[in-house]
Amino acid sequence: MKNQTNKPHTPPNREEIQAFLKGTADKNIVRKIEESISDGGFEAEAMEGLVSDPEALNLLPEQLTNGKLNSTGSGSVYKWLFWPTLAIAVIAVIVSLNHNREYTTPIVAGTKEMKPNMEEVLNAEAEQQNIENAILIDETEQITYAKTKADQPKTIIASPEKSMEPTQEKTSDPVKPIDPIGPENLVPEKEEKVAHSNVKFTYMNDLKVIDYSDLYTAGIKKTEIVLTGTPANVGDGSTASTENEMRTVFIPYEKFLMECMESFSKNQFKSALKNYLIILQHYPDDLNAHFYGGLCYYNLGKFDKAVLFFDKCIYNAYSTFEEEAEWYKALCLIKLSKDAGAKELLQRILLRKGFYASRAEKTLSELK
Amino acid sequence: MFFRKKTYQDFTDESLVHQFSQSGDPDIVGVLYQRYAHLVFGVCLKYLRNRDDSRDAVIAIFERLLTNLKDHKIENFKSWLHSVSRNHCLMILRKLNRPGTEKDIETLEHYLASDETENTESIELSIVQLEKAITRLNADQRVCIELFYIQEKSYQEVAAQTGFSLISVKSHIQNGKRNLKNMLQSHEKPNQ
Repeated sequence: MKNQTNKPHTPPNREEIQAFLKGTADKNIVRKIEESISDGGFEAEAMEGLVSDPEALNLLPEQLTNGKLNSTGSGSVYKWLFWPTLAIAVIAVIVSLNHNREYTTPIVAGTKEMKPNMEEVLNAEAEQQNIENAILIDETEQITYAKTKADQPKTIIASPEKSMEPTQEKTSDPVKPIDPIGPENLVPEKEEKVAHSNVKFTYMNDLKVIDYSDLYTAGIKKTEIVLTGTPANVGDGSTASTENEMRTVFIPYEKFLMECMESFSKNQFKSALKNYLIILQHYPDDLNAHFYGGLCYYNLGKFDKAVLFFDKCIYNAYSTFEEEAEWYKALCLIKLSKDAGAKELLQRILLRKGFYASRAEKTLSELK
Repeated sequence: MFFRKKTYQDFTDESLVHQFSQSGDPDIVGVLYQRYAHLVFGVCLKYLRNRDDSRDAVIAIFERLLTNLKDHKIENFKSWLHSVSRNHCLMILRKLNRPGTEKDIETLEHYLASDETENTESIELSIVQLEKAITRLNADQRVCIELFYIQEKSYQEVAAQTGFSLISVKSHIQNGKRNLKNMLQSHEKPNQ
């Protein structure tokens, strides 16, 4: 019996996608959109863009009439409904924002209700000032260099993209059965949990970083102040002042990243973060800057921005920082009093049975 | 006008394109806009990473449809629109020449050069062949495919049930589908 398995496929409409992005879509719509994403192609690419900026779709005019874009419907009758409808919608949004909404869809949780968006964060001047004005959280709560290093899972290269062959390693070894007889068997063997990276990585200051050397060919543009004029120790005092010259230099990415990681290793989170943002201005998808920048934001008490950065590491084709980012995002959600979201994420970490599973279990029990 | 719009809503994409080539009715482009503008916008956001640029791009793409739909013979409107969107983004990226967009430009050039569009080819096959092919997948791909397509679970539910991360679930499903397709197509190849 032959069956046609490729039935006509209707792409998700705008309302369905908006509901999905807000986390209010019902199960059927979630399923429909996820299926269209899994098919790859147009919808998958579109969803990638829309997930990166969920609020943006509201800016797109809804109608095209007579070949021109028109945000209002046709006909004078509908014009009189527009403003009252808009007023009701604005009031509804204000009321809903005042409620403590549950964390539902992981894809949206890091971005919905979060005031900052990536565009604001990468606005160089304003953000550099925000960083300068920020105050570090209590030292005992900071994710310092030492803690980051200690809490870093051992990582191995994995290639989940290889077809046919079961190449992907499990994140933990199968648990060996414990012989109940004998005290030496009462303590389970310590298993080493490893994380997997599907791209090359290396270490700087003993911290894991993705090796982008094959991808990044242009350097990082840095403006330096070059002091000119006669040095004071040999001058005759006749020169009123030294002249300063601004010079633009291009530093190789690896060298610039090394400077950032050096600052991070000294717990200089403000200067490290400012430089991670410079990397992101050049390479907006750079995960090294997102992950360690996220930790810096955490230490500066900017947990909402940290979540934005960790989400980039979680929902990314490169898996290098996925596990760590999930764990730190959970900590951010706790700080933000989003316990429901934190619990859901911790449960996922627990189910994964990876490096952070035992920590997740402990934190979950403390949350209950 | 209202009645005509309602009728157009029921047309397939290809029927609309054909109708437009005959009548040039701009309302037809309006219907296509409602169906696809949000997807075009998403693709533009992915590459241009700027709301205003993306919005402008959507406007430009759909306003150009008024001439392009008449000038080109389009068999699959959705795939064609996807290519047009990518082309437009490539043009914008080259024009703006922002630092850090080199990778996106390369990606778009690669897609457009290899003409990788959605595979709309339909494969006639039997349930038996499909079931057999699924059993030949590796364990991770098989369990994800079964949970997602047969039990119709969401990504999140599959991740919760298997313990895989969301990224891994998506990866297993995509790889599993590709492997199924390869297996079924090699089975389908007629003897030459």
